[in-house]
Amino acid sequence: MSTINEALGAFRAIVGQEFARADVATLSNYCWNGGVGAVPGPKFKAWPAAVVMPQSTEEVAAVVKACVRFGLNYRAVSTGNGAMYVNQKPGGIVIDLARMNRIVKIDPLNQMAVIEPYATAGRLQAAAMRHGLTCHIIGAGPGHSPLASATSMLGIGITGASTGQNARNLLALEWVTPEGEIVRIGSDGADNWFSEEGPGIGFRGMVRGYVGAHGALGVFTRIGYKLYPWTGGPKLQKTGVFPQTGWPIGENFRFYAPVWDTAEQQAAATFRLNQAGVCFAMLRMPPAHVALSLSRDTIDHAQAHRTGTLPEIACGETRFCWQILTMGHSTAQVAFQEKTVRHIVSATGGRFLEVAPEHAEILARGLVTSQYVARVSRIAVAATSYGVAESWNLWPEAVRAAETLVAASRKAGEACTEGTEGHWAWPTESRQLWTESVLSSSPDEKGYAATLSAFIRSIHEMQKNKMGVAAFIAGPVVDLFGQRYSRANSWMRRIKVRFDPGNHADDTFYIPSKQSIVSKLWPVISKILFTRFGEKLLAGAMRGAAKATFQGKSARPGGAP
Amino acid sequence: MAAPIAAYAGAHATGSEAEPLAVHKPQDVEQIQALIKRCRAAKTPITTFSSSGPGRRRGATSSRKSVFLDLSAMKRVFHIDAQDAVAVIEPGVTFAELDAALAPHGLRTFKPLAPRPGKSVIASYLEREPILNVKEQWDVLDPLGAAEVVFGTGETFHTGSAAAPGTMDEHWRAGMRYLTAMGPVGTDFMRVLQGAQGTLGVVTWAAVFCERRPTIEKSYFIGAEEIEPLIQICSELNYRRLGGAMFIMDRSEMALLMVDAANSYQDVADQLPAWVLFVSLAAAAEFPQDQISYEAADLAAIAAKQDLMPVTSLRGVAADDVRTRLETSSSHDHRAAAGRAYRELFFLTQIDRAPGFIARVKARVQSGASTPMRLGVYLQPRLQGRNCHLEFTLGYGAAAPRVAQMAALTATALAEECAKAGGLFSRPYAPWTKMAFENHQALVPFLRHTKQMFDPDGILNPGRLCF
Amino acid sequence: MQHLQERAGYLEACTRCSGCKWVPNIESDEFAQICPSVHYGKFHPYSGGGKMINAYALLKGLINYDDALIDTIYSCSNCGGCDVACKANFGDAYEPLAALYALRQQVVADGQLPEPLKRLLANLRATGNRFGYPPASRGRWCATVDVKRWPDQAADTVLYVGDLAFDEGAWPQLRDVIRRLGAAGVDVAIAGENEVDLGGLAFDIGDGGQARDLAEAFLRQVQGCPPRRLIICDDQAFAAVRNVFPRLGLVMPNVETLHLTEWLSGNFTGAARERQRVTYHDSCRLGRLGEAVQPWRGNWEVHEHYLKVRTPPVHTNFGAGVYDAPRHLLTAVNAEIVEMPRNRESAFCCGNGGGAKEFNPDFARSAGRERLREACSTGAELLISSCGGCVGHLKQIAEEDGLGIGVISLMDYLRQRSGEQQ
Repeated sequence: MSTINEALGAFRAIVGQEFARADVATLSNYCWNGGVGAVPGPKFKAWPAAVVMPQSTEEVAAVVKACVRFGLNYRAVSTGNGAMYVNQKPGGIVIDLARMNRIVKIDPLNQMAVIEPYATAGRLQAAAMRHGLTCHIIGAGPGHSPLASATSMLGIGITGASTGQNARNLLALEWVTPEGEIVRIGSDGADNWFSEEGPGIGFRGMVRGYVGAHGALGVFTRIGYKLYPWTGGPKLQKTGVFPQTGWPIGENFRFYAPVWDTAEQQAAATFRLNQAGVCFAMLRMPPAHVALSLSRDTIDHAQAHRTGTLPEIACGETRFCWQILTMGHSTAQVAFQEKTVRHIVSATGGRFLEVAPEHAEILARGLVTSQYVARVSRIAVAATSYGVAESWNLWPEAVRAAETLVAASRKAGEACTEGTEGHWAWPTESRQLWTESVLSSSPDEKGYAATLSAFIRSIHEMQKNKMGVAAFIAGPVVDLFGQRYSRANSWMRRIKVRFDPGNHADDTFYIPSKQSIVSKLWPVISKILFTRFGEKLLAGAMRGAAKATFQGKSARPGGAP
Repeated sequence: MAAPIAAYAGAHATGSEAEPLAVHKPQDVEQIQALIKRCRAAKTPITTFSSSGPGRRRGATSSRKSVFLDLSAMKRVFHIDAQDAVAVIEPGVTFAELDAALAPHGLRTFKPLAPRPGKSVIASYLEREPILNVKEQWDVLDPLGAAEVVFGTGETFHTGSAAAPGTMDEHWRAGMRYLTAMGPVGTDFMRVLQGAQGTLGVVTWAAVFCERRPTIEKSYFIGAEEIEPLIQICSELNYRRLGGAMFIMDRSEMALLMVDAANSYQDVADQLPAWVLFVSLAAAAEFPQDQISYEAADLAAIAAKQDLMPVTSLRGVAADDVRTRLETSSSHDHRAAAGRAYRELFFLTQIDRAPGFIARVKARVQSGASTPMRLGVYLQPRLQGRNCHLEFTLGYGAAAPRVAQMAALTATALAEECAKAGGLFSRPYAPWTKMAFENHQALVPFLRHTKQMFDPDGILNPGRLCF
Repeated sequence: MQHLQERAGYLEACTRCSGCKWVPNIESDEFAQICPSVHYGKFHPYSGGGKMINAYALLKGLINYDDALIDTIYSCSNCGGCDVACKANFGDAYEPLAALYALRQQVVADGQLPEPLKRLLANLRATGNRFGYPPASRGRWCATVDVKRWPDQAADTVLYVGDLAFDEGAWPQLRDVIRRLGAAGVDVAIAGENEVDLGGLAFDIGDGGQARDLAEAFLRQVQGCPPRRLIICDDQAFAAVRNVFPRLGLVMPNVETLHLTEWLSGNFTGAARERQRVTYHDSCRLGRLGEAVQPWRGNWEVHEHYLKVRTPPVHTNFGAGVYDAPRHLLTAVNAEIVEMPRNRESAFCCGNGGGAKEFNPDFARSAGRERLREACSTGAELLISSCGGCVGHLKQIAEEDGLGIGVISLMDYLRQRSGEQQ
């Protein structure tokens, strides 16, 4: 306790008395079992010892150094959107970056911004639109931190066709290393945030891979960040009645909902649409999720189901459907885009769905802002599976694989989604497939066990069927599946040990400091698990895990470091 | 097997480069892996080469005796896929060779400005040489996809989606196309290798994104007496993602690109506007005529805002001919036209800051009146317009060693001045290496950690970067 | 009235997404926060979701009361911003406002109410008003007004004035309203000194018992002499009827309830004046909390194997209170309304309500300053609001800080602009 008191004194000396707190009413909020959808398990896991709120990079570095000096584990949090428990180790220190909320600069000519960790995507987008620009917004929606997404997470969102993905939207970055040094990558410390690398090796790749380090490799405090063209005016106008707020689709824009009979046809059309490069956004949602996006609440959703009043775009028959938003800079370009989209859809055997204007406006607003993505996780266990980033060749197989998974789950009396599969998809950079199949189960042990099984099986299926490298692996799962990815797990561990020898930056969602027995035996275990006999074993193990989760008890405050 | 070092010399060799202990020209990854393991055991340095022919920049660098690992014989093109516009190639494949292989598939390479004939495609992309096609470069990794690498540890590693279990053929049959360069998982290996100047590992094959050959292509010049209006136009074109190849040059640099047998360099240079923006419009497969029409109209409208006009030829040279020239590797270095030698200086900045640097460089070059040098300026927007590569060439009479020395000193002094003014030397070749890392001292220990992880014995290309 | 225990299922479902901190449809990077509490306190427990987390921790006996906890609970105006922000995506899944109400009831039940708020409740109990003024002083504003006295005298329409009765500056406006109603031929009555508090503030603070006593006293008046229509001038009182009564399980008899602005907007003709740029501040009590709550008892059933749905179905509140009527009135007097980026259901609260100002003046000032900063950013000459509480609070800060924007009540403004002063 005296260490904590001493550390608290040190933190307060750095950030000021009121910005380092150790009262339970504050601590409780940084060990809460949150996430996406209905999150099972005990609500309080590892109580932190203190929450510290620095307001500058120098303060962050000083706080980190103090953590190292006092031997404390720490974890930084930006907006905290989807942060599971935030603090992971009892007695850890949470560095809440809420005071570092500045949009430092919008640089319209060079299509970029300089931002701090607590600048949300929604704020950045509002600021950018005044300059004819917009930003990539991940599925978590406008409340997420683009800095956290770009530096530390997967960072992928529904306007990927024109706004890429956040791992690649990062320009220069400022990094407080796990031991508290301030390092700038691609920037020499002057007002230069435009370079993605340099000098020399692309060091960013050490601290941010395909997925981020989720806080295990220090704290990122400022970044240069790419913005993208926007011709929809300085302010996003509104239509409809809240919460069904739409966007009056601008004159330079067109919204289409083309549909095909098969995944193969849809893939063929997508190749051509990508090549033409005419789409600002292309989004495929499973029909049930279109329905959820168009509903005020679950009552509204269930009633539409019961009364058969779901719009066509939200029906299972139209599942190979794109929501397309095109954006032009001139009348002639808009005309060209329209002609091209119509031609490609028709030439690939597709047809256009009629979408009521009020629905089109809601969907279009969702496409621009990602505002409504979270609607699909209303009070259900929400997880995901697959996470395929590769050629559109893989789209039909991704669909089939998810269908098989869901069908097997349903046969076992469990249900991993509404409809036959839960794939969200879009073409990142108008080039490559991104898809993940969202899993939604009832918030009970059985449902949770089903989603766990489905998730594990999906990664195995990806490895077995050569569907690229799975996106959603973090923490202990990296050791299980990362072995087969050129032993990427061993490199991650080497990096962690090298940059954070004392393991002060929380490693929970990066890689365990020691490889577990299960993961060492995984090559053998996995050979058994993914057989017919093993399926029952896996299901049994997941039921056990689900039971343990549901029966878990909340921890009490005061856990010693 | 030993070959004379001359074959591996750079354009500006210092003379202290050591002769090779041996030259190895491997055929496959196993040979590379075996060599690295042997050299690790013996603590013997390795200097790597992918391109062939006289290097315009780096060449052999090590003053320690090292084994030369020459990858230029690794020329296999494993796969080409038209639908995803990607090819998987070995490091010895040159732009010309790959273009020839791509042509039947309706593809071509994304090219830097005038690569020499022996230039390795993979080496160019690994060195982050800026490509001409701005709008297709979303990220600095582009046009690189997934790859295979042998690290200095001797371990073979597959990056990006190539890390998926299975062989390349199995992946390809399943429909994978190695489009994901990042990862796998929490480390972006390809990004780490990029800009490493071969100090961490040897890339043995890589997927490279290719450009679809346009159905219609039309190139334009926009000339101006000041660079600022062209910067405005260039920025707007980038904002609109309009145009394929695009860059700005001063008259001196542009003349070198335009000059041919029928014209003398000076004649062309004297007649050009002070600054020229070159832009190619490229229409894809769907309604190409419609596309080229609106793009040409939009281009004209954008230029008109600056009271300028795009033209298809300047002083009798067609923009389309320049584009054709840019698409073909030339055996002669266009900058060495008229028998002149040159020093170059390049760094990253932002397009609106370029005029400040240009003025600074001009002032210094003009102040050194006793050693007349031709100043050339090449501004290449990158990353869809987020930043730009700004390159200066100081041309001088090839025969005069004193002038050459002056040019070298001037270039070095200018580099320091530009770095102080905010130029970022992201590709710090000698003689800028020391300066570049001095300006990033906090980063250096972490770069050294990285080096130690991937090349614990420090055998790969010693002396480069800060290692 | 729901107790904390009954909210447990909602509390534990909170995903801590922080959606409750931001306006659902952001129009300005500078003015994007919706929650004055977390704007002031910065740490997560000040947010709607944060309060839910602590409510749950309290319920499970994991934390005890301390000053820090009380500060997070009461440095909050119960404005409902978190509620609409959460519901924008999650509908009725979490309902932060209901959690906030239940949490405060728990605080009171556990005897942990902070002193300043105890005094407020004591005043209410002793005098029927929050200020502790003598009960009879409620009638001072109308001592000379010749109008029916309800509930002794029956009338078609009862005008409820609420706490405006204690604001001498508002008296001319109230008298003007009486005049307008009379001129429109409305058979109107007022309760005068017999008017009772409707319990909204007591409920906000967490004393459901007292809130119920007050509300029931009013309902007895209504039942004793039922009017056809009730017109309410006071925003807090309006919210009490629409938002609090149903939560207390109380049912207003068949009486049409309107806010004064709603009646006026159909019965107001303005005089043409020079156009003036103004901005309108939606008070929480007229806006977000001015939507009628539908009481619900039922079960959550699983739809399509995974989705929890309230059965029987019930209307979910999305903060659809009164927004258009005041704007119509402003337009009628030739005011050019320059909207603040946060308006209607996304309005940023001034920080005055819910006992917050009495508990923590610094919080209230912080919220008020933020709102005034936003108002000033519009370039408007005046900030106008229907709510006397908001106007008084914002005006005080604007004057203290020497801001170049006037603050005026809607009724006063209408009276001035229509040139009809008593």
